[in-house]
Amino acid sequence: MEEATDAELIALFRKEESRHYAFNLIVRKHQRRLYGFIRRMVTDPDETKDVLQEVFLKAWTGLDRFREDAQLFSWLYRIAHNESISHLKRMRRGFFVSDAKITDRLTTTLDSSEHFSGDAIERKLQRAVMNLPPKQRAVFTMKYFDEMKYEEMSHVTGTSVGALKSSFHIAVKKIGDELTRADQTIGPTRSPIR
Amino acid sequence: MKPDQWNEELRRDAPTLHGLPKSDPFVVEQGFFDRFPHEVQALATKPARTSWRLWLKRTAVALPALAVLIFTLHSLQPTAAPVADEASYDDLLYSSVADQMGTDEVLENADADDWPEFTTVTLQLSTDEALAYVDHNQIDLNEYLY
Repeated sequence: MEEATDAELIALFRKEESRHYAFNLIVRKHQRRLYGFIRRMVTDPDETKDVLQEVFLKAWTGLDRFREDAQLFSWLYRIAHNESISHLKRMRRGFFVSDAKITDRLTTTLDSSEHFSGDAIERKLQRAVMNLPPKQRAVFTMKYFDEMKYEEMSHVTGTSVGALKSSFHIAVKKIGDELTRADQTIGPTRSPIR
Repeated sequence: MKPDQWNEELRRDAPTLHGLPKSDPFVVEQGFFDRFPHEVQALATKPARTSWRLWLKRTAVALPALAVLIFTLHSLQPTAAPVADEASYDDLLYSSVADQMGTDEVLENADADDWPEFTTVTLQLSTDEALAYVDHNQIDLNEYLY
């Protein structure tokens, strides 16, 4: 069966009799990609689930007001972005600690083998990503892992394309430097896949 | 940005990053994506809490806060000064410093300069005044003749 388009799903959602069915389909369609983004932002699987739940609960209450001319995925992604940043801010308030302490906590979660299956260099990459400030981490994740266009990222973050380009460039430089340092201890990198 | 241009920039700025495969190393619990839509739907369609429960919770927070506020405002108000009009005549009569002193203290502090009216008072009545006083008080002068 061919997957329904977002427009079709929204039309279904607006009918009372198919509302629940449409919502279920919307969650099924977008959950994996949103989960991936949130997981890279907050690392912990339980916290990722909480944030993802919050994203879809907000979508449930806000879908009636959703404008049809906008992209549903971008809208959901925007909620996921805001919720992830808010979650990281709450963590900081909750523990009365600096970003560095939160990064330490995230790294500890990452180092738990049951949560992460990557090799040493992938672990280094993720650690380097976690060392970025939350907003820059979001920019890097959207561009590098999700391969989003700057225009779409601009819609999600509410930031100008120029500022996003600049932020991503700085993030790449920081991560590149960190990986180079790590590379000297790990050994030569694998050949590029693209 | 075209993919080729993007790759070139990445290769130039971060060669190590460029050389990494893009995999998803995060472990997701088995069956998570099958269960999650049902879980989130159950949460979304859960009936809203009845309003009286919500109000009960709000009241439970608001009442102690209100009590603290009233207590604070009350304790911040200046204490009212005693009103002189409300003092009785006896209060005023016995509120002099001398009343709070013992007899010996009063005598020790009784400097003549402080009590001029008691040391210099003399009675000088005219004959008519003296007679009026005797008449008014019905004094029998015969008692003073012996």
